[in-house]
Amino acid sequence: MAKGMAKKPDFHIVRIEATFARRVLAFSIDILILLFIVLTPLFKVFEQMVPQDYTLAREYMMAPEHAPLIASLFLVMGLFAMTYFALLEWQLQSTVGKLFLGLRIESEIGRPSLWQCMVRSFFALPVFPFVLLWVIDPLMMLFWKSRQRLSEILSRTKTIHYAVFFYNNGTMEE
Amino acid sequence: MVKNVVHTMPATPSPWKTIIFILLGLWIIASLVALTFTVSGPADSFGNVAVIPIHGIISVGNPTMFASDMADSNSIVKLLEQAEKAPEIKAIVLDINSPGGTAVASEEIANAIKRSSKPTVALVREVGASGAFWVATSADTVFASPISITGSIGVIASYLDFSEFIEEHNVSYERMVAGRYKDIGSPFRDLTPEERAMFQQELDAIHQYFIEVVAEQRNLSVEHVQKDATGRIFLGREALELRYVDHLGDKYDVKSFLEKELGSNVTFVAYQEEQSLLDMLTQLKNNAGFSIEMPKQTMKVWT
Repeated sequence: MAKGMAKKPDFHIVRIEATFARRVLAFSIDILILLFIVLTPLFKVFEQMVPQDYTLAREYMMAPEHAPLIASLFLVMGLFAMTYFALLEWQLQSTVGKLFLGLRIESEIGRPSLWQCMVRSFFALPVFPFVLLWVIDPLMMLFWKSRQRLSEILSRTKTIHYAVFFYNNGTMEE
Repeated sequence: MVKNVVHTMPATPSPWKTIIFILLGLWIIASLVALTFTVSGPADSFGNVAVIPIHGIISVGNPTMFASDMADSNSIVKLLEQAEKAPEIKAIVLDINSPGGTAVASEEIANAIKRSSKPTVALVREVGASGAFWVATSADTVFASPISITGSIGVIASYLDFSEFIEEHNVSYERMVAGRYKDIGSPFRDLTPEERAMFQQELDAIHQYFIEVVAEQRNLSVEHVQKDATGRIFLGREALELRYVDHLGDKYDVKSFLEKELGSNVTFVAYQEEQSLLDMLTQLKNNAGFSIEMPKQTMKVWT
């Protein structure tokens, strides 16, 4: 090294389990993309179908002649959300939100298959019993020893964070 | 915790092309799917007559946190204004089941109904008396069941007098006022004859006002209403004979009536407000404050 030049810090890439906060943030980004890009045409249908006034909207959605159509629309939105997560995780082992946060999906049996990615994404379906995952998954992420969601245990996948740690003057910084 | 030290990230192709391809593909398919949903605007196919419930005691605001049996004039006026503005709403039905309430709250609702440019129908259910009768008669058309309780054109401000009770229990009322009528109607002392006369005068004035408003709203003479304004109730059948009610019937009769009036099918849509927990907590905080005013129980004038 030339005299007077500062020593470049060493770095290591560490593969660790993704933290809860990082995963939630990544999920939030994905939800925003779903809401403002993928599902926009379906939301337009919803706005046209359902009166904008809150009182009328409630009444409309609960009326027996409209409830099946509204339920179908929500189910279709759920299918699109599930497809978003499944396709991206299958192709890239990541979604947009996860890419921004340095997260990847890894399988215990090699590269995750499409079926594994679909099982991971069942939470997006707004029907019983999948709606139970909206409660179970976050609780398991917080309290289960492996910090996996139930969907991840069933699909035998994990969410991993590739964190870059620098060594600078003998101390390690992310 | 999984922890491996590696020196290179796993090799991945550039993800952005794949991401754009997938997002664009999903968006296109979502657009095509959206076209398959048959859309008819809510304005045309759903709810062209607003039904606004007036259930319970009518007052300005709700005096208690969980008062689900109160009809808040603020909310009802707001709903009337919303129905007035909504282009899909062609008429307004007031679903009334109330024994009355405060004079001011009743008048506020009645005035809001009279301001409406859309046809208004009042449907009196079990009870539409006193302040609720005031409200009902402000509508263009009044329906009632033959056995609905209506009328009660009168004013009440009665209260419990605890003066003897506290005297028996060796409790004294320390009267500290500036302005000799400031504590008129306090439950802890007797009314003087002069105060009683004064109070009665105010009640009579409100009563007279009530009579004149009902007469005007129903296109009747003041004398006609005056003779019925003893505070007595009358059933719907009798109210029809006395011309306070236009038709006898129920919601289905109202529907048929409106279909003839509007010349189209009628679909009712309920307009009502629900209180959130935050609204309830805000009311609790507001009602806990102090105010410089006459004791509430003496100034509550009910119609």
